[in-house]
Amino acid sequence: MKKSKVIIAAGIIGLSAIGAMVANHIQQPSLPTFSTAYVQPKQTALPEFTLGDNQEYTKALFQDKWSLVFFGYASCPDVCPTELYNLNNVAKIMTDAGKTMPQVVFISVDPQRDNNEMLTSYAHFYNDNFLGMTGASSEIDKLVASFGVIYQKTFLATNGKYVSVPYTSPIPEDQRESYLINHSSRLYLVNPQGQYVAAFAPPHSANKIAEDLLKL
Amino acid sequence: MQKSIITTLIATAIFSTAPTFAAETTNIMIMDSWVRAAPPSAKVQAAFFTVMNHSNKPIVITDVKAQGFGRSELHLSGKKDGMMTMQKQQQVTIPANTVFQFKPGSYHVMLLEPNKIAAPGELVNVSFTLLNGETISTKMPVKRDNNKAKMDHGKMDHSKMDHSNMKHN
Ligand SMILES: [Cu+2]
Repeated sequence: MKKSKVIIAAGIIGLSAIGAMVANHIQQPSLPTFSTAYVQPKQTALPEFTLGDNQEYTKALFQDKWSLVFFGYASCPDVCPTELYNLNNVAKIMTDAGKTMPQVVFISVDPQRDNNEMLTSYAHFYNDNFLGMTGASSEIDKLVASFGVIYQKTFLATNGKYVSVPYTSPIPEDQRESYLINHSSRLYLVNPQGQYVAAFAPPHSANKIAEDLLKL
Repeated sequence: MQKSIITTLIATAIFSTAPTFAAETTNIMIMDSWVRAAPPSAKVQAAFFTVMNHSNKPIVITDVKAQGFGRSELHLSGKKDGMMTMQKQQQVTIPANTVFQFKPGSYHVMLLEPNKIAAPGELVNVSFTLLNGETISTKMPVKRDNNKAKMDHGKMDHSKMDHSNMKHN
């Protein structure tokens, strides 16, 4: 009697393990083996959100196409321009190979200084197909939480030391225009079902990113 | 100041065959300089270059000014707690007999408060103050890292792609 209980229990555990594996497999039927992209252990369905001046960017943005998402800000002189130039190189490689470049979405976490119109022209400077957008910090933070992005406002205090605070925290008046933002620089891959499935960790090589994207 | 202008002119004359501009005092030379082209809607630009210290003593850059920008700062990009960070540097020391690079993802000059974002083909006059009081100036050409990708395969021009600046940190 005791023995059979154990067998049943083992059977249940075994079945649920298989079930989990099957569920996992069904959720992500066509993800190839990547060489540099880190596949998420669990595909994260993106939350409802609204960005853009007329709330034109919602979850629907990610439906039926692959997307690459990067978070940054327009006052970033080095990391964000490097990333966008790099993604334009990825687009070149994809186009040359006759493949569709995923849609590139640049999300500014700095709505206090950036607006949607300037972010559109900002993104188009690097590639006419790139999208640039921002919105209320509360909306941005929904996506930030899904991707596991971290960012913080940082400014030079009067004692010459850098102070980092959450983005929406108040800062000294004279720093309102000159603060910097520390931010994650991962590049996120979203599948056509609107799920965050993989990420590219820096340093980013256009060739390596393209190599993985060509497998999609 | 007077001296540095003269040496700059000499350096420019000597290196006029090189595609980039160079400035030289007795011991220091700035070469391969460029200002990264940015969208007209951008709020900052960055300048990159190579500093050659030919002397047996360290050279310390204490200040930088750029024409057409309200503020210019010496900066260092880096990584901390999983985030890309950037910090203003009060000074940058170029060790003796060293070739020192200001490059994407590392040291750079951050150009803030632009009168107007400098466009490709333009030259930005940048001057550095050294700890010994000397000033050196150099004109930095504005360049894109690469051209926009086109959907039209046949007309793609890869020759203009500049791979030298592709390093990321
Ligand atoms: Cu900087």
